[in-house]
Amino acid sequence: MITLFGVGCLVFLVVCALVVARTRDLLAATVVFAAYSLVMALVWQQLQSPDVAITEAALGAGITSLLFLLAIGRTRRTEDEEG
Amino acid sequence: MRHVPALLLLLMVAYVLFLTMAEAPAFGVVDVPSRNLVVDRYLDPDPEETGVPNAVARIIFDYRAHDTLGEATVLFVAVGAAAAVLVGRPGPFATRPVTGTDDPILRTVARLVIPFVQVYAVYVITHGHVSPGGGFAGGTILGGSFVLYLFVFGPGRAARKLSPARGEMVEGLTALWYILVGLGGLLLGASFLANAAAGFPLGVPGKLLSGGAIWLIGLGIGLKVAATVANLFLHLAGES
Repeated sequence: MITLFGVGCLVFLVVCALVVARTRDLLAATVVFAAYSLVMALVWQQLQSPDVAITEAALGAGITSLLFLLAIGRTRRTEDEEG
Repeated sequence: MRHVPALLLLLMVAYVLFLTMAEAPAFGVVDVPSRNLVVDRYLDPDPEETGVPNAVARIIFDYRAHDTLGEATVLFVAVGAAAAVLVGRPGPFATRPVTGTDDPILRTVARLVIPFVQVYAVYVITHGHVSPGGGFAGGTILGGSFVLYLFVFGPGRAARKLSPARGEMVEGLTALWYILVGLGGLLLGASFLANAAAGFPLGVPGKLLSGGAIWLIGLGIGLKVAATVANLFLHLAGES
């Protein structure tokens, strides 16, 4: 796991997590969260757990993002100030 | 100023977490405290006990099949609760129902992609015992293809492909299927959800038709998860 690729993945995950927490545009946050899940799937694969990687890619990047998209579509796209 | 207590609390939590991580054994070493006889038996490279080379499938559908039955029940209850809240009343979110799209690019791409996604999902479900994946992952992919259809063509057409009533029927029947396979173990003279001990044919490890009850339960779980995902999105998209 201590490869350049692994370190790059982990740094990307931290940056994604910070962006998701900071951004007020919920649609952008959902897209970044999907990217987070895809890279997380790569990390699982690097940790030799391909079963978890497949589930992370399908559930984390796929179904969870779609659920958020649906919720945004039916409510509002931006977070309240001081929300 | 009002952030100071929160910051202090976070620093304390971070301190405890870092302390814990410093105590953790190094990654990948053999003699960690949690490694014991159970691990050695579950991860035995020789699949004679279960007939299944994939250790994950072995654990969730054989050694720990009771836990998985509970997990399947949790899914069942979750969708039941979602349906109870969402079906038959406009509620707070019925402001803008999902309608689908007229965009020719999205429609064409969805038509092209959905069959391949579904074939892959069936592959992941049916090969869960010999390769990574299995009922939960494959079922999610199968359900995801339905959600893509729902987003592109709208809930009305999606409900004509799989109506909520039929989805609920699939869910109920596959939950029943799991229990029936478990009772099969009981009828054959072993315990509930027993596999090899009950005499389910294990076949040749690594072949598609092998693993006895593991393969049968995996099929049911795949269909169940797909129906769960499809139903959840149908309810949320506002088709009743």
